[in-house]
Amino acid sequence: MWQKPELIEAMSKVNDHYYIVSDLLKKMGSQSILDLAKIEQAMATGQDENKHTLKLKNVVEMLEEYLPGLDSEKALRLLGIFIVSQSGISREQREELFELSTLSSDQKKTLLNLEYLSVKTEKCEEEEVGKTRGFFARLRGRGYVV
Amino acid sequence: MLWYVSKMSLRFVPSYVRIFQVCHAVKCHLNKPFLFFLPDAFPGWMVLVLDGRATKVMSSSMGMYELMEHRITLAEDINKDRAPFRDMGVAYFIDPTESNVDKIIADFSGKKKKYGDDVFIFTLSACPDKILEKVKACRSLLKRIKVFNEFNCDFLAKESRIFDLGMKSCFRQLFLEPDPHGVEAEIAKKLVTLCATLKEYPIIRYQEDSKRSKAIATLVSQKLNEFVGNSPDWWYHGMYDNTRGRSTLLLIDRSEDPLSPFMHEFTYQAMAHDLLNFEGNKISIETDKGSKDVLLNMDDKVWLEYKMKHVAEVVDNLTDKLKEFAKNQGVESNGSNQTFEELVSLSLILFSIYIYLISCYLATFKE
Repeated sequence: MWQKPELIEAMSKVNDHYYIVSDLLKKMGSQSILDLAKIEQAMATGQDENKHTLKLKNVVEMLEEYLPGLDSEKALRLLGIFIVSQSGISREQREELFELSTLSSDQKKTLLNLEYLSVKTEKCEEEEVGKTRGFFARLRGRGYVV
Repeated sequence: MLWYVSKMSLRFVPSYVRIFQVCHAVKCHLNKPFLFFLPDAFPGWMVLVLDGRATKVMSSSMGMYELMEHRITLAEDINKDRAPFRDMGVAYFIDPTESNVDKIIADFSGKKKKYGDDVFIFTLSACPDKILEKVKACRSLLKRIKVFNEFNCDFLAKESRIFDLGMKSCFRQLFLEPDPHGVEAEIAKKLVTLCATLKEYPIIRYQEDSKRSKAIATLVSQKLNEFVGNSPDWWYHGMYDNTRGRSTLLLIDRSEDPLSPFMHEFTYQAMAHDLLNFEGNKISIETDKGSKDVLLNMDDKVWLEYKMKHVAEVVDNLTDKLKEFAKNQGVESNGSNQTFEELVSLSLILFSIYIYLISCYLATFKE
């Protein structure tokens, strides 16, 4: 072993990464990232795991179930995805969801400021989920100029 | 004839140079002044004086050790009080701003000069005429200048294919200010230095409905043409060589994809940055032998190999690697080494984590 310093070095590197990954896994478990990612995916794609199209009602139910226990950073992410994927939600609904979450006033403002990125944050009538403002989805629809 | 010769010589450029590799290109570019300008002009040791911006650019791809190899003894901040070294040359790497040039002039005016008679000045981006006039006006400095070079490298090489302009507040300015012309010009200037370093003369495309992209595209095209007009020696990929055409510069702003930053991603790098506490690219980990700082950067081969892979895959591969190490070591040390026993226990722990993970993933991705 002592004859191969490069092996020792490589091994200590792998070892370091092992510690990082195991720490990562512990945190993923304790913060239930997998469940969270499931909802994120569902909202972003407009479909659940079994590829059924989601109704707005289902999404709101999911959010109402998850939001109260979440820390504010994750709640910010979820609500951000909700607003962007719906291209705007009604004012009452927004107030209701903000009420459920632990968002600080700054974080609420952050979500409303999405308006500056030309995201609609508010709308009156309710529509079905399914339209994503994804990059490629929009590329398809529009030509680029030189 | 000349055209033919240069075409032939380009055929023999090793293929790795032609691949779009920001880090590699920047390293070559940063080495250039030390390899080409300095050795001929000056034989002795030198002091390197940098401003904040240049320090960031330099340290993104060069360490102090490499600088020492190029006969630099000391790297100093231009804004701090510096000790005089009258027997050494000095190389300045600066952003061409007035305050920086004033400081250089201050070093060489007055009775006691700070450094020896050899001065090398490299500016990160194109130097405005006003600044040049200022340097020209100071005679004691002018007669000492051996090299004055527009170095054109005003960005940070983050990873082999990622660069960063190092403008953290520009997002806010671009989207909130009614007339962000200053920021747009700054971005365009930096993008031109990027093209200059990478030897690219790109076809510029932009997002039609974004006025920012449009403004930056126009400015880049204008400044790039200016740069090409002023530098007859400069060549670009696709100039002589038909196998690889010109590249494309695609300008898109965040309004095109507001969704992605909110999502959790499961690649090793993304997950680690989401869940662990990083300081820059340093992370502190708890091992059996106490806590330890690890740098996750371009020098870490394991990180490079796995950062874009799914976390589950990373665990999988790391386990294999450790098993392999254990096997090799078993042969060499006859199994009597302490570290070998450690390794076995380690791979057992890893195995259990692996099983846990597999069950997690079976549950999640069983679609």
